Amino acid sequence: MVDTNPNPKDLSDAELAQAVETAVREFLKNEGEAENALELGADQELWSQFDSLLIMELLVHLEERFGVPLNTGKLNPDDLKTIGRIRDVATRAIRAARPKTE
Amino acid sequence: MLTEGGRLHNPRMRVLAGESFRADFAAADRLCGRNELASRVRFRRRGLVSLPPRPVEPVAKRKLYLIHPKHDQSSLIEVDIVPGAVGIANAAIGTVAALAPDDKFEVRLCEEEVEEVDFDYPADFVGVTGKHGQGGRMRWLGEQFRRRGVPVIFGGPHASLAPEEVRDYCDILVRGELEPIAPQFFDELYRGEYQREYVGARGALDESPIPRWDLYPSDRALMGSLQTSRGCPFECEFCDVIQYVGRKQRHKNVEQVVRELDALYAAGFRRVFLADDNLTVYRKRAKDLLRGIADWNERQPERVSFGTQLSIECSDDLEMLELLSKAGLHSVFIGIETPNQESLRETKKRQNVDVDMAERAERFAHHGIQVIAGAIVGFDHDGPDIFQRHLDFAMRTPIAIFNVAALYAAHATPLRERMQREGRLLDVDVALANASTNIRPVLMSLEQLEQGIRWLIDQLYAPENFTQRLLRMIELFPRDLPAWSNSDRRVDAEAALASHGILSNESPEFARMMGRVLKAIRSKPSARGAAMYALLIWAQQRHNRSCRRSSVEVTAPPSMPLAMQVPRRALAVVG
Repeated sequence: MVDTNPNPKDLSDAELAQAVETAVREFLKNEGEAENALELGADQELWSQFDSLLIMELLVHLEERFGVPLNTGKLNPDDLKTIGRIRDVATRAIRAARPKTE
Repeated sequence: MLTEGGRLHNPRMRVLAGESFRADFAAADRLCGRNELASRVRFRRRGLVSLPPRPVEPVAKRKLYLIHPKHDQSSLIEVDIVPGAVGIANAAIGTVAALAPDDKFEVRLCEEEVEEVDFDYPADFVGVTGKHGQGGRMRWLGEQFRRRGVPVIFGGPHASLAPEEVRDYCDILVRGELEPIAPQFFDELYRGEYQREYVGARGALDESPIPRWDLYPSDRALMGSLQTSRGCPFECEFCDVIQYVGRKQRHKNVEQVVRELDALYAAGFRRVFLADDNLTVYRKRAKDLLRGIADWNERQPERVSFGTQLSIECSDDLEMLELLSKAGLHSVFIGIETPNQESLRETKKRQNVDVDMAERAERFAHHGIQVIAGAIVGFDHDGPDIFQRHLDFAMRTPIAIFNVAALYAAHATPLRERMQREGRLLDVDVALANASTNIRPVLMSLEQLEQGIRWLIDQLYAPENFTQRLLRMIELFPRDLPAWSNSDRRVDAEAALASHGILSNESPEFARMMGRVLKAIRSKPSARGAAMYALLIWAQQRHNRSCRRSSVEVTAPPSMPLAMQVPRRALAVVG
């Protein structure tokens, strides 16, 4: 059986980025009612898809999913402009929270 | 000494010599390379001359720089967690701008919370307006511009109610409302023949212009602002608003309000604060207005939501609640003040006496309207148990946001007069900020009052308590209301990110509670806007707390043993 929610610390960087992107797309489809979320280009602007509450919901969703705080207070709306940017910001935060291994 | 064509051009010397120097201003200024009006003011300020009327000459437009200053201290209502943004747009400077004749004045606005004051702007006049909580900043700005030789005009509530505090920091003091005297004021300003002080009457609002939102940084305000009326018939002892705008309420007509709404909509606002002192107190008028707003809102491509201030007794009227809801009101600020009935009587808050406030707040929630409560502590009948009583009351309500403050004797109020008479007015130069007062309480010490307020605020905004009240509100909200307009304005996104950043980093408990709230509103879209605003204020409150955390940590109400003592600043009795 395929594990749909693998532990982030078991993933390679590329796999982690892919997992984050998938989580973002699924959230936008399910909660943001963006039917085309799975097909959107990673660099396509999302601005009109978001209202302020959805931004908070997305961040909380990703934090719960990956178990890592993503917003240290330095995020700005540009960081959420596209799926690709959200993926990059979230992936960086998750990687930074991983325990350092030799 | 400056000469031109053999004539004396030192105006001061010519005055002393008994000559008229009227015609020489321009020449002297040309030679000095300075602004003509500024030099005229300098002479007036020295008290050397009484300028004779001067014929209007075709000159360039006067540059008028209008500033809404920063607040002296952070308060709950300000959203300083969002850098470079304001919670509610300031309509005052835009209104003054609209009153200035286009052909004579070039106006620039500065919202200081958004952008820094430009001290190099070549203004002919600088105008500064503000409330009591901006008094310190007003005075500082006045000093800065006068030092640069620019004449300074002060107006607005603080200048009107406490003229003695600001008079020495400006060249022109405008007390009262500007609209009725605007033609004379601007004409004299243009000609440089102005008076030291103007007093505006309380005029009709029919002719009040639409504020110049095109000059205001509207994209940096979470809410627009529109005043449909001025005045409140009630006579709460502590209220300075009625001293400024009076108890006889004056109204704009519905068509005028709709025109202002069109301007706000065009400026990009999808949330508007109806900045009335009491929107619903004249019920027939309020209902006509709300019908007009509802009709207007129906016609907009994107629905606009509103906040306002009103008094609790309007919840007697089911039709009023329905109209408020239909018009798009999402939040109402109500001065609940205190659960102590004796204190309500003491302060003449008669509309709240013997009213079940918790049940009334539920009525609003049933109509999809969030109540934001104003609460005051430190009345003469408030003992050290009052903080616990406030908390007990709050937890029986669906009110998430409580704006708690100490009783404060503002300028020109009956309360201040009484405190002065009783020798209880303290000389404390503080703004109207949480936990600050200028009154010596009767049934508790100042230390108990300040510690009690801090304890109360901490309790009200503790994760479990805050979330319980907010979830209760969401639960009571109806399902069938139109959902809050989605906003893709950048400033709203910044507010969301700032709120999330603060709450998710505060502690796992906060993050968990925020998640609970978000889940609850997923199933109740009608509550999205109200809940979002509540989360923003929650985050702001936690931010304010972190700012004072270094100085004090209060862990028990003052009726119980105190964990720590608050360092006190020296206070002196005056008056």
